[in-house]
Amino acid sequence: MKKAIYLRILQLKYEWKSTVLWLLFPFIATVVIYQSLLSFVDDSKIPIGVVLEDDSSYALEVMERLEQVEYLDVRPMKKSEALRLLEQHELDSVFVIRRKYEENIKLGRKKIVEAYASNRSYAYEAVREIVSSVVMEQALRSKTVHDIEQLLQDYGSKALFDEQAIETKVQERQLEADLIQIPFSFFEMEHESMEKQPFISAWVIWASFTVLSTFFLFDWLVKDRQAFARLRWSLSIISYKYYALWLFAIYFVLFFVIDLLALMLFAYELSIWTIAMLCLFRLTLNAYVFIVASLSKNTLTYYILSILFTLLFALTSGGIVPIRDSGVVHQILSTVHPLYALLKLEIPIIGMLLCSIFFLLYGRLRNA
Amino acid sequence: MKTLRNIFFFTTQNFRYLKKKWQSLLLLFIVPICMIALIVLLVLQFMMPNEQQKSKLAVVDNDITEETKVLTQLLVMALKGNDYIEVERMSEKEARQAMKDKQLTSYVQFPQGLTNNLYAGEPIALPLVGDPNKPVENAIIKNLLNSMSSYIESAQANILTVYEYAKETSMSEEKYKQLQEEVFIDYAIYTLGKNNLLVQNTVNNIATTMPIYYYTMAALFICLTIWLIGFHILLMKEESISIQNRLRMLGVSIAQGFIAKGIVAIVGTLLFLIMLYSVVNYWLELSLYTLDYARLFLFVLFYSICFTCLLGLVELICKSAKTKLVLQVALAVLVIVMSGSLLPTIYFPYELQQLITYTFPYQAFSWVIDIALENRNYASYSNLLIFIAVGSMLYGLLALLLERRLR
Repeated sequence: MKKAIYLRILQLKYEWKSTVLWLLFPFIATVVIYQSLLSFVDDSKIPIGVVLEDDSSYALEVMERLEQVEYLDVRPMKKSEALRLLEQHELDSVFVIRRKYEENIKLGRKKIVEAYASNRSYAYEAVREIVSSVVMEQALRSKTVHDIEQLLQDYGSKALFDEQAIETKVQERQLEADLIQIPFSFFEMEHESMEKQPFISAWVIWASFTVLSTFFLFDWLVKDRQAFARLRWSLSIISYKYYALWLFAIYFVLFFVIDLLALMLFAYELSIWTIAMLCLFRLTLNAYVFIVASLSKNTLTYYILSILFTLLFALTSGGIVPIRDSGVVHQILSTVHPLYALLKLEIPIIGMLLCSIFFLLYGRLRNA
Repeated sequence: MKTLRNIFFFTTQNFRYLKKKWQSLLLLFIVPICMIALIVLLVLQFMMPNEQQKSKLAVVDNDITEETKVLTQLLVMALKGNDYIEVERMSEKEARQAMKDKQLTSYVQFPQGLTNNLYAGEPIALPLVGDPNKPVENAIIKNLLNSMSSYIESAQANILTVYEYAKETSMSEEKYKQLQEEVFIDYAIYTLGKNNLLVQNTVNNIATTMPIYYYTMAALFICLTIWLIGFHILLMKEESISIQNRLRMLGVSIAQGFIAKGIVAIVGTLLFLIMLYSVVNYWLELSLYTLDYARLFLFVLFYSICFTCLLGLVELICKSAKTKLVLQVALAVLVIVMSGSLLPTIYFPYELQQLITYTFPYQAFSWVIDIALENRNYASYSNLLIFIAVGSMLYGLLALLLERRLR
């Protein structure tokens, strides 16, 4: 063991800079990407066109209310222009407030706003909800006025009826609002809100990048097997196999310590269970990397393979492209895929089985 | 003359080298296609509703009254058309157990005294608890509940006003209680008709009636970018310093080697693209004029040259193969994102949008879409040509500088 470490340290003398760089790389990449995603989510707005065919105070109120919504970019314009822009996919959706809007609302009529979407409107559903809730508010208000009038008439106290007063009362109530709140929390976790969170969490980003850096940090397995190095192994006291297996164990410990650091920094949950899962993740990932490294012949192929594998792992991890928690895909991935298993807290049994079979074979075959 | 001869020599060398590595070429052809297919399949399996795979939302009713039953019913009715979410009533204990067994995506609690608070107009909190392993599903459910609560909230303001006036009339206590319930249910049902307020239309542009055309173009564009970078990676060689020195003594500069590589990469990529396009067009049946094809070809070519310049800059700056690879891949991702083929740029932050309109990936992609799908009848290449000029000049200068240093 000591000899294996000594050998590695001899080489690290020339490679320590890149080793440190790749050890830190997942952290730097995570922080940079997560921050830029955050600011992207904060600043991005949905462009919608609003056409006012009516200039009553009700119609203007709709406009004002929409402008108050943070993530909407409301552009008032003419109907023809709005539809043209929508056709060119420069607007997400267009809402036309029809003529005689206030009158129709007071009469309790339906279909008073036209909504237009193109076949590439990604946010249409969400925006439509907002618009219809604003319109609904006004419709409710006029319904209330009507109902109260009816009520007062029935009980013969018509003198109390004052449309303006009722409307202000309702409006005040709505403004003081936040009558109903839906505080969100994750199961068995204390703090963690979901406000303004990008769909990809920091933990997923870190886990994806750590796959890449693990691949890159295991490149000595390939390098030390190249033609010029082979000769040296025949002269050394320890065999290549002994060296590789010992270092595999040492690298595992090193990586695991760094993983724990990352767990504290980026993960949303810290428990014995997650730490155990992280340990299994590290073990399977390192074993996979070991297999790829011992099968590739030169470093460049190995690097290309590592990028391909990282992409594959990241895309199928369930953190970037969502995957449902049941069905065949889930069953296969949760038993084979280390990243997926880590994120969904499953045990990658088949993956570990395959790796241990490989290690047994490795011990038998490569006795060179 | 000598330069040209050198470039020609290395170009043929590279072609020969690739011929030997036809297996990797095949792999390169397939990789982006497989990647896009994989993502599409994963997204489809997520979107496809399946009885067993529905997200489950449980309603934990701690305040068992007529009104909360109506509320639950409202939730069920509002979600009836929704293929992704299923609602079920549970006790808190059951819900916690189901959550532990991963049967549940989230549960919402109706706290005790909810009905009284509703009538009194006190603020209410309906805690929603979600499975931390399903952030996307939870975000969907949370949005849904939020929009529902905003409807109930606005109904609430009205209901309370009606009560206020009802109290002032000469109504009997019993009658008032009855009215309270009636009004509540009346308004709750009224809010359910929210969809009747809007007339919904879809605008279709004649040429792009089917979004599939757009997505195919975007996929082709992404493939193009990945192939370009893939060829560069395949042709990447780790030359030892002694060979580099010998080459320099023969008068071969870094730029010459790179130009030879770039030519091979662009020619190879274009061949791949034409192959894939002819296969895809068999289904799409996009009929374009020869002139349009010529324009498209030019745009693709110019885009490839711009991208190659960028890759060349990275190659000059980085020494180690690892950083070079990672930076080039990062660059490819950045270029794909900026082109708007992944997410249309109108959804980007406003300042970023303005900035991106001047970059070559966006220019190239939007022109390609305009010509291929929107029947645009003219084309302007000046912007891309400026990019090529700036890019190649930058590359030339940096290469010259590096060579001076080496000498």
